Amino acid sequence: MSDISRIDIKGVTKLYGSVKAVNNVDLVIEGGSYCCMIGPSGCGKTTLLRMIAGHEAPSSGTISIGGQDVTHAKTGSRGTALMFQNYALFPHLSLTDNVAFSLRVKGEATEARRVKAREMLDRVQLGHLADRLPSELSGGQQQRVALARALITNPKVLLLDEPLSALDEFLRLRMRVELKRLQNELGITFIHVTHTQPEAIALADQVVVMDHGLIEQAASPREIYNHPHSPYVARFMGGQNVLAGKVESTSGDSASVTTADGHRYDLPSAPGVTPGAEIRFSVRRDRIHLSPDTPARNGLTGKVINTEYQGTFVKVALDTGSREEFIIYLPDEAWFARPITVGETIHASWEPTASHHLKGTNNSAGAPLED
Amino acid sequence: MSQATQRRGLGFYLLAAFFALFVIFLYGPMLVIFILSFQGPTGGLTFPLRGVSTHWFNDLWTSTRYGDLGGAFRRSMVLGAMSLAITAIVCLFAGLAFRKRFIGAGPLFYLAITSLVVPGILLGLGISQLFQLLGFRLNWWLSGLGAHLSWTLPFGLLIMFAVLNRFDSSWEEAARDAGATPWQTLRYVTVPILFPGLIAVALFGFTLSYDEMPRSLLTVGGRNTLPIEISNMTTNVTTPALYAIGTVTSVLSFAVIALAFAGIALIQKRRARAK
Repeated sequence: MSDISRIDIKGVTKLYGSVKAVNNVDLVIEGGSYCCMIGPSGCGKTTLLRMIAGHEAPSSGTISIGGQDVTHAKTGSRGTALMFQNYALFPHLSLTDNVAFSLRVKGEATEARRVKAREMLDRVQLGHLADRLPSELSGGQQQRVALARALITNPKVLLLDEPLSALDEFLRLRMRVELKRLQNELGITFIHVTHTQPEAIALADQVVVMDHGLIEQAASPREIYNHPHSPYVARFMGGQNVLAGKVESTSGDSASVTTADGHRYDLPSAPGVTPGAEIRFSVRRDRIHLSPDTPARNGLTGKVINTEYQGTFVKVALDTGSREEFIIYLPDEAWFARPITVGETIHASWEPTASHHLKGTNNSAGAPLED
Repeated sequence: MSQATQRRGLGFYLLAAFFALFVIFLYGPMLVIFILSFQGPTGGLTFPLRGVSTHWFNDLWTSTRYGDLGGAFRRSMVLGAMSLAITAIVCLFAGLAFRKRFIGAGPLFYLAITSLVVPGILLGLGISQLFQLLGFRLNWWLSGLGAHLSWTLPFGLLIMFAVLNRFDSSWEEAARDAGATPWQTLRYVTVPILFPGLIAVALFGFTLSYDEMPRSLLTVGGRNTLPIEISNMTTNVTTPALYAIGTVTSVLSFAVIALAFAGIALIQKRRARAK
């Protein structure tokens, strides 16, 4: 981990009129790590990225790269390179001249910069198209040119604004692998803005989940997935059910919770809660199994409203009388051993360890793409 | 949709006939003037043609009956060229500025459009009054140019808006991100990408100025521009020389446009080769 590409964001706020696009954000991104910023549109992730790139100035707070305060440093002189969502390739320049652009504005001689640009194009396997115009390329090729153009400046930090959103599913998965490999090879910091959960989970060393200009949680993908901070994170990252109830009793760190419909649940780790408090907790959808009759604790009963075969598992949606669907991921063997029909009433239960107390208060619905 | 186009109804033929009439109405008169300008030496202003000759073109150059036609033509070309350059440059920067919602952008825009709407003759009268009030002499290259710009600038600005509509400002951001200064961004990215649109703006600047008449009448001072000169000729010249001048000026207008397009093609070809 290199410290020259470490990013420290301290108390950064961005105001548009009276709207806080980014609200007093503190974040440390380790040098040489792959960081994914994720959240619904309008959550401030792109604004934060653009402030790191220098395309927007923070209303207050500081941004440092490698220990150096770059809050008001000029774009293009702070060691960052931004890859734009639509790639923003210059339509009037060949690929070579697109990639060589930053060398041109630095005053490097024509031949020298073109040689370097061709080397960079070779690196992204586009050397044979060096004389083409961007409009003659496919989406995936354009993206590789944008990548080459960003990397030729030898940035300490590469910023990617939804880099994969314009590609089809197949290319997206391939480019995802290439991005990760490139980051390993170069050892520089990548900051990748996305609204796709599997992308963030698959790529990132650090996932930053944002909502309404605030960072809800910044942690490793495993931590985010297993210990979401708030109901919002649990819903947005997907794979979880969120339940609410009143604390009945506590003992040590564990707590016993009763929901409005009378079900009882055990939370093995809920430090700091007091009896009588209204709390929320999440249950991993893949840790739930069916039980033959109404479970006494840590389970519920509901009517099946939808089933969806997913290849390795089956997604079963239950109506439990609350506003949110309760979803179970059943292993496919369990499903085919005893198929369930829509309209049937079934019972589900899980181990207390599958329940996770959600400390945060953000209870918005989120908008998981992959539900 | 595709089924509807398989069988053409009455509407299609009616509209096609209407369109044909429109095209005849548009180009018929021009064609008539073009043909009649080759009238024989003894021919008159109307059909039939009495032989075919270039007599009246010759007459234009040699006769002294037509006043300062050469001078008027030269002045109109110079005015057109000045309008072309000023319109292209001012409209480029005005268009770029209007992308930002600066204070007063709305009123300024309506003010610019107003000068398209007011009757040209009144605007010309105003300009000439203002010049007299300030004690300046009316001159085709000063008050005349101003009058022409009051017509070409708002027009060019409207075209510039359309051109900029397809311009993605993330190109400029990408240039900045690569470390380009504002000047480098303008020179290497903004202007080259906008260039074809700028040619269109410049050409409008030229052609609108070249055949401008109402605004010119009271503002060019002692020396006339070509449209005024031709307009005067219609009252006192009764030979096909009148048609000959029409043919010559039309050909020149087309030549200017063709040259501009050839220029664009040449630049693009050189660009393609400069890889």
